[in-house]
Amino acid sequence: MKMEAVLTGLASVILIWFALTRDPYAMGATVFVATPLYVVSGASFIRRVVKELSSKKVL
Amino acid sequence: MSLLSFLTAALAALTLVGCLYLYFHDLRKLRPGKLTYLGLVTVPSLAIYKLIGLVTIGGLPVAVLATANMEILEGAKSVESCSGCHVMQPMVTDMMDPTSDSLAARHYRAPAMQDHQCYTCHAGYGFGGALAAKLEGYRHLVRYTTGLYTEPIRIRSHFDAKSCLSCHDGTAPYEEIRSHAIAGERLSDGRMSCTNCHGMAHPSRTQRTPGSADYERLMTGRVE
Repeated sequence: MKMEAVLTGLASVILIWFALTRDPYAMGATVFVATPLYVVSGASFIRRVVKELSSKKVL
Repeated sequence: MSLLSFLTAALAALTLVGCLYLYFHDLRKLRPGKLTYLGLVTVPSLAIYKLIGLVTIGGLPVAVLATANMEILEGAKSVESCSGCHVMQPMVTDMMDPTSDSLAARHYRAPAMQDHQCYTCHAGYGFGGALAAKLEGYRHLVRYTTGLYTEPIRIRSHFDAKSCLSCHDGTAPYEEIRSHAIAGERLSDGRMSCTNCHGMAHPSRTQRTPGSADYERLMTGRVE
């Protein structure tokens, strides 16, 4: 789960930058970089969970 | 720092801590039988890892994005948010200038308009208007952060007089002016603008052009 952790961690750093500064560049990074990073990471996590449950014949 | 900013920062920090845990602990090295003592209960280490993964990757980001987007959408209504982009500074400086005679400055001094002055005039009227203003805000964000703009900036579309009429139409001071009744139809269908009679809303493009006599004063926010 290292890849998901890196993507989510990077997005979280951007979010902290935005929350602390409210800079327009931080806002742009939040909308156009951090949000897609969270989505990609979440989708990858769901894929991983589905794969594991399928292998255990739960799904 | 607002409550939403604090909440966003706190949740993002918590997510970051979870990410560090996930990064430095290898899932493959956790044997199924290994147990972790949590003070009151003993649980399988693998279950702990997966639970932290679920909360960090699947749960907390949803909460962080919710608070951050709420902050973006609500915070964008403030004048401070508009002046955060330096190209908007001339409008804000002029608006706050007590000696300015521009439409924006006169509205800013009006007791009826105590906050969100930029947003009130530029958001249109009703749900559709506010939604369009927010989408326009995203376009502004792209252009500002990528540098795809030239000074002086100019409004992309025709300013709709309905934004003015949504407050003024039907009020006694407005109805008392005969020319308003004459111009009413032309104002409604966009053939005429309020600025035709009431003057400029903001400093002119000449004043906002870099190198002009007023540019430095307007950009530094110095009110004379």
